[in-house]
Amino acid sequence: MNGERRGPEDLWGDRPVPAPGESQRFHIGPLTVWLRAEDGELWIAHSRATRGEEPDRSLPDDAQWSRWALPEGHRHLHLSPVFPDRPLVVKPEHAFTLMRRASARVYVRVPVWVRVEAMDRAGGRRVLLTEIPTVLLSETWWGDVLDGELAYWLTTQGRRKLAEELFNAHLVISAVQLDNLSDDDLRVEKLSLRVDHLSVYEKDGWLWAEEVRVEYHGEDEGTEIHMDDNPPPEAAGAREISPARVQGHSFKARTFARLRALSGWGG
Amino acid sequence: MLTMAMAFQEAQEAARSGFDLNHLLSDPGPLFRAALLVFVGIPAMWALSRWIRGQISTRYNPQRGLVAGKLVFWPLALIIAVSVLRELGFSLSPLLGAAGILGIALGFASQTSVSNVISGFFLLAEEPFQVGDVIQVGDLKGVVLTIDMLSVKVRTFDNRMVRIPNETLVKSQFTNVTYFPIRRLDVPVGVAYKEDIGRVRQILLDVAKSNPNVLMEPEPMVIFQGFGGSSVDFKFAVWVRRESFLAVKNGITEDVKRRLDAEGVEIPFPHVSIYTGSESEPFPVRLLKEDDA
Repeated sequence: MNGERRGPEDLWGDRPVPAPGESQRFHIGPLTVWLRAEDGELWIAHSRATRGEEPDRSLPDDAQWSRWALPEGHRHLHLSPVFPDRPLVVKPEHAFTLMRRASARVYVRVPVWVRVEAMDRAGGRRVLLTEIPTVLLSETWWGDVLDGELAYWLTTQGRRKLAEELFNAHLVISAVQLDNLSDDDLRVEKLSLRVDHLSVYEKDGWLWAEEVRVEYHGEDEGTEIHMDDNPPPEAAGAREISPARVQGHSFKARTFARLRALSGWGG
Repeated sequence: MLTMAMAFQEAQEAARSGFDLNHLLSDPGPLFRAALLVFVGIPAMWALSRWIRGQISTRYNPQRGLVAGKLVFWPLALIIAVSVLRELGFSLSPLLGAAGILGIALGFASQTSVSNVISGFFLLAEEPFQVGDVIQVGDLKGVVLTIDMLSVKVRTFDNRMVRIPNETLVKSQFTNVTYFPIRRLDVPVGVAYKEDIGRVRQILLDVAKSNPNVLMEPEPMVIFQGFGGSSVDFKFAVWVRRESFLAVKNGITEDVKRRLDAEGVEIPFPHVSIYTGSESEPFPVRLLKEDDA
């Protein structure tokens, strides 16, 4: 299936800084980015189509340019897809129950951020310039009002099978293997996906993340999360193009949200 | 007063008893050591205190950094002061004795200050706020700049510095606005009686959903408040990060107005109808000439 359609393979990687007075444009999903060289500076602007809107690839009149005075000799750029900088709270459109001792494999698509870095030579040491989200995700809070963490909100269909329409240039496919090892049924209404621990892999132009295995041991025992060092079997042979923001492949974390009481209302 | 004068006199005499200027001039060693303590010891003490403050601030929080810095600074300052005096030949035993009497006298004279110092320790131990938090005391609202021995310095949002005695904070009620990482923002919304309440509720929830700075959870809510004089009143409550509170407060009010206008939902304002005895009859107007008036 992956061989039938190919993604924009030439987008990621090294490219020269535009020549003085010239500009470059690239687009990925709803995001369009412009690069321009002016008076020894690199200028970057972007526009983003809102959901359901056809992207307008022309430079907006009111484009907000960010300007970068690059270090001496930095004439190369590196573009790479990275995961958002916070965990994601993934909400399936339809909650489901994972029966005791049952497993399920779910495919979650996560919109990437485009990381722009400068280098003194192709393949050289990179200096981070900016990261631009392809899709602006809503923020959310994971936990209760006293103890929790900030996260991004992502609604997913929670597909159980890979289908061609799942592939999109700006979306990383993350295979989440859910194992209910407890003696209780698990109602999956939302789950927290620690994307800062995930790398991005590329195969045939499409983006993949390591397989995430979530083992639920029960209400008291908690949840263990394991991440492989390799891309999932569905993307065997994919190459890593962006390392994870945070290293560490196994840890315990609050992952599932059942019916949680959110105090703090009233009045 | 008499006690203080006696203590001061005693301290003067005691200090003079061990101090010999001729000896110091003939043997410059102690003078050199005292100078070394002043010119090397004090900068080193400052540097150490600042370094520890920075380290603790980075690792924990600025509040603890401040306390740790002071805990290092003041004992070191005392040690340096005592060492300098010893090098210069001052005898410290009588000085300390006199300090006891002086202490009692000063204690009576400075009850308020002592109370503030003790209150300061309570504030530091209890940690109801930290440096950088936004607090509200009565009508005053601002950012905590420092928590000192006697007072807390607050910078108001119009950039004035306000000094609040520690004792005042311990004794009175105050609010730490930024204690928790997320806050609830309540926007009062009133719509005309003719509007469909369910539709209004849906529109407001949609406004919340389309603002990326509004947290999806805890979920936004539209709470019916009552039938007002001119409108059906709701409280539109959304949760936001404390950092984006002001931006959302401004933005979401505009979003609500724009969206309700676009959907043709009327936001009423108080109407006054004047009747002259009959609702159906036009309001009678009588024109008067200047002479008649």
